Amino acid sequence: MSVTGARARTQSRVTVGGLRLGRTAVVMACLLAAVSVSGCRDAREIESVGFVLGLGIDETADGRVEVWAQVALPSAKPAEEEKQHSWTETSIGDTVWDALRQLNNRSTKVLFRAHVRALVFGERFARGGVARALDVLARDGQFRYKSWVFVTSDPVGDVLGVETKQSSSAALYLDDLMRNTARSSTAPRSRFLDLLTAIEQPGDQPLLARVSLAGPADGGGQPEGEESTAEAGRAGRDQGAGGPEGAESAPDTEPKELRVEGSAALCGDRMAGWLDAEETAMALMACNRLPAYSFVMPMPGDEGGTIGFEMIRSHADTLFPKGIHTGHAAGLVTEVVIRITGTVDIREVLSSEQLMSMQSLDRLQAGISRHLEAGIRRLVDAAQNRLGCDVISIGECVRRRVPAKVWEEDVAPTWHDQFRAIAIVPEVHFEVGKRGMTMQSPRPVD
Amino acid sequence: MGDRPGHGSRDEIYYTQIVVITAMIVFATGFLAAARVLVPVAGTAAWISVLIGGAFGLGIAVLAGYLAARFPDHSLVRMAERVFGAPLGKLIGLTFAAYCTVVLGLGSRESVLAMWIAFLQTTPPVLISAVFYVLIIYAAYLGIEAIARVSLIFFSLVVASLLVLTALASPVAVPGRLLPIVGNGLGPVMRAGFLAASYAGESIVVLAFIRHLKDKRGASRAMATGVATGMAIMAVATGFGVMMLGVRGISRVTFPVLETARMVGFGQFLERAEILFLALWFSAALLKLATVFYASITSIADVLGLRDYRPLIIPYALLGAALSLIPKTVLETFDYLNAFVRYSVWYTIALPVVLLAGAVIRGLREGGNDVRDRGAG
Repeated sequence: MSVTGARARTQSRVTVGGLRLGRTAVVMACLLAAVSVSGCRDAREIESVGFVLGLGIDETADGRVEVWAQVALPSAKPAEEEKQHSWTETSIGDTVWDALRQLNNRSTKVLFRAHVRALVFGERFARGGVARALDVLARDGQFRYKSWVFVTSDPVGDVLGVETKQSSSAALYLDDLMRNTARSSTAPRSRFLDLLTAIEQPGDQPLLARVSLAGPADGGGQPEGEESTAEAGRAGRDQGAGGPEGAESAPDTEPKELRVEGSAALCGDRMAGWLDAEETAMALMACNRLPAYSFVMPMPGDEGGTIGFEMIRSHADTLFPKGIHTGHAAGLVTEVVIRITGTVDIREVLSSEQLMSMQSLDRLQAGISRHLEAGIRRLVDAAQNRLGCDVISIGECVRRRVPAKVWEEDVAPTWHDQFRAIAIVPEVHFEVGKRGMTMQSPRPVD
Repeated sequence: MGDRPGHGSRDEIYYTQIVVITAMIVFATGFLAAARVLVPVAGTAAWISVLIGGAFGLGIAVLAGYLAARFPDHSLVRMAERVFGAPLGKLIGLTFAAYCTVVLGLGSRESVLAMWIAFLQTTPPVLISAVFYVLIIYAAYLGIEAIARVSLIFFSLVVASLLVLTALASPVAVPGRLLPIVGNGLGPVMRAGFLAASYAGESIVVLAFIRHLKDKRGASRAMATGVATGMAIMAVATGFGVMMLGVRGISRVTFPVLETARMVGFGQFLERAEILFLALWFSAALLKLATVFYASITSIADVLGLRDYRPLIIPYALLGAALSLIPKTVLETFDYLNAFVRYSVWYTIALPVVLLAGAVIRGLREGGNDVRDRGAG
């Protein structure tokens, strides 16, 4: 065995030994770090965290901002029926952040805003401009852009304070409503993200779902009258045009329920007015954002008879007969055709007319189209004259067709004025699809 | 003159690993905020400008690949020394190391800010940066082969995460927001394309270690494929950002991709899922920064004539960490980033062009055998 070979082996052993020592040192350092840098120093126990489920924001009579936070109170035992599931705290400040800051200071729990399900604006605040609340929420790393946004004409504290048997808090109830039932209701699925993106586009103004307090007697009931029977949420119309006092006539002692129906139309960040259930559905249909819609209308050719439908498909095209593909033409949008096609399924026939002939079916289809076309006309009238803002996204269609520079510099600044003067012509054509498992209504022998 | 046999000279990397490393260098840190840089210029056509930038980047990658094929056993500094002689070659090597240092400093600062602002608000950014650099040091110590292997694993996870994100984002995205298709016009789109090319141009970092590629004939193709992949990922991220937030929204937010990730979720049972994506993305950013770190210190070692780059690791890491802390605010960071995006593309074009032109004019090729020698032989 040579001396060189022995030296090489010794060196090799030393190197391996050094490596092992190094690795052991690294492993020990990692273990020590895992123990000492684990965050236990300023850890927050879950009991000390207040999970905010609902946020409410309104303006007081003296122009200050009032904020409500509905905070979940998780219970250790699932069967604690007596225990309160949530509590609502309120605070007033000069700005939204000021009020939130004070709310934080007064709360015994650290308010955690990552689980906010519902953001409710009071009407007064919405009319003054919701941008005052958007900045603080958009900067917040915790707040979710997927939170639902509502506007109410009722006191925000009362809305968040409603107790329902279906959910443990009003905010969760609203969340469930929007997730599961709003698909077929007549309120826009308005998320915080939609509000953020829409207020910056004058041609695509936001519609926010309206939440209101309703007594149990009002729930689902419809006023009488031929046309009034037509829409599922026509009851909201009475409140809609009425403004903030609409729901306050109900006696305070009566237990309240929450109803999500209709919408608040915003012009920029300021609320311009209410749209009732039918107008909201028509606006959503014109913007291709109506997932489902059900309605009842008089049976054509049978006075006193009614027929109920469920809309299963609709598609709207906004057409510019004169073309607006150049910047020059963009300033001259004078006429727009909203062409809507779709299919409805028959869900209920209460009439002697059983639609067993092609002529009767054609008559029905024409009647449906006329009925919906009239709804679109009412919406256009409301948007152009009552609200004065483009809630049917015609401006967005223009923006997509013209060069960006032309839109930004020439069209967008004056779009609200231009929109009011445009002749908007609805063309609606609907077909009847399925008629269910029976061809005719079951009837006793005469 | 070939490379001196130092540590890591026996490392071998394969075609796919070069593709993955190149792609990661191109997109891993840039895509966090690329849309915020490009959308104000190109408007709705920002995603097209990324593709145009990718086309520029392909040109840069192909040139760099040809250069690597011409000097298969040389690092970038050795190539420069061969073409222009030792003094000028070392100077070019130093400029390359400086470029890598800026990429490292800005990339690490951007990643640290994204973690700090969005998630770790109460953690000092210096601590996040320190954790980053500890991991980078360890990766650099293990060498490019280890980085390449880990990159291969994480790249597939990152791509899978982006595909999942795309699928989940589809219901929230509004394709109409990508119209008008030409955005702010052809001129601005081309200008934004040139800005985007700076991200693709970062692929020249690969020149520092392309000599470890086992089959040198595929160098050009591997780099080009990597650039195309990285820029395609960035184009998708930009396009979805515009579809979800709109042009104004993208221009306003700090990190568009983070906002996009925050808006998706798996129904009601898994909220705040963005942390899963971000863990993967930051792993990709970490591997990119480790690669750039490795490229930088091996280049400096070549310039200084060191046999082993490892003694440089700790001092250079301290320098990098200190440089990454120079921008005090987010605004300052983005100012530096904008300046880098605007001007660095010229360097990334000039470097391979100058070296390749010098090599062609002087007829240099391979380790010591120039074209004339071969012709004479």
